[in-house]
Amino acid sequence: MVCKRYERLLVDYLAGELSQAEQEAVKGHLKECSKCAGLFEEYRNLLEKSRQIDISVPEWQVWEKKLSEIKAVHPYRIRLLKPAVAMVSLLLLISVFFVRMTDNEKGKVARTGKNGYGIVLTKLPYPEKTILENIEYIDEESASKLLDVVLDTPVFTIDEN
Amino acid sequence: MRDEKKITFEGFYKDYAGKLYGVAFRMVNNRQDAMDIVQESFIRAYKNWEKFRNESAVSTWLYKITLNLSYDFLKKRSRDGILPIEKDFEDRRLDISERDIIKSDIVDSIKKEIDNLTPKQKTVFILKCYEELTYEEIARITNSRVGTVKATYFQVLQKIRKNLGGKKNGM
Repeated sequence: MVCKRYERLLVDYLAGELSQAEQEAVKGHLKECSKCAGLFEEYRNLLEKSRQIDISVPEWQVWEKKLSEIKAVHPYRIRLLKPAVAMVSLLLLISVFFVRMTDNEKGKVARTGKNGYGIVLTKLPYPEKTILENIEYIDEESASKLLDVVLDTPVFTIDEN
Repeated sequence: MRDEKKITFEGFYKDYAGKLYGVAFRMVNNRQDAMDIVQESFIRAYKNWEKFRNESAVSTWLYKITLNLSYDFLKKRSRDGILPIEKDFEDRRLDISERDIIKSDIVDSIKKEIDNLTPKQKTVFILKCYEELTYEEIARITNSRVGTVKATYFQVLQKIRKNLGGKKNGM
């Protein structure tokens, strides 16, 4: 009769899943118990013979051909950014956008003769846009003040004719 | 960066294509089906390559995909009433005899025993005996507990040993 508690240990021993102490215990027991030693041999042979089952893995050339087929199925990959990188990229993009907008589309005020000063500005990326677009004609002082505060843009005069 | 990633994928493919083929072939017992399963697994890996952080994560994921595709294949085959094709096995026997290699009866008997295991039992046995993964790795791949994997592996070995009749069959 095989020692019951050792049968599982024999399998785990062959699976390389025992601690050093457990391995020593199994080895010691196998020296003393011929029935367990016989069972151990059976399991060892079973695994050894199982590994002799041939499955003929195809040669690398076959896999190489498959590799090109795999890539052909999905040739264009969209690179997904890591969240941190994506956040930094987004902030940079926003900064560039605002800098570009303030440089190219600063508001302009023009003297329009009988109507006084007018806001020529049409586009701004910030809330001030609303204010500026809504004030069509203002006096020179207001225009200067407003532009100093909002846009720091020089006031200039044009001839309405 | 794109080239570096490409090399990594190819390197991984080179290391694992044969291994995954072994798993798929042992599961479905057919050369062409196993090839298709491995190819599909790698297509999915290629599409998701950016998401993987290390080799361990990719290999676990790929083993899972390969096994799931094998289960799907087995289910479909069973539903369609198609019997497992033994032709490949017979062909290999022919090749082997041509190479003057004698295959013992006991090896054939073990193969039949493995073929008769349930898919879950077969999975544990393949991953432990052939892939030499740890119980913990197998548990991760199969979404099971380590204790369950351990018990399954023991039951499989015990079952095969008993069915083969122990020492009577030269074990």
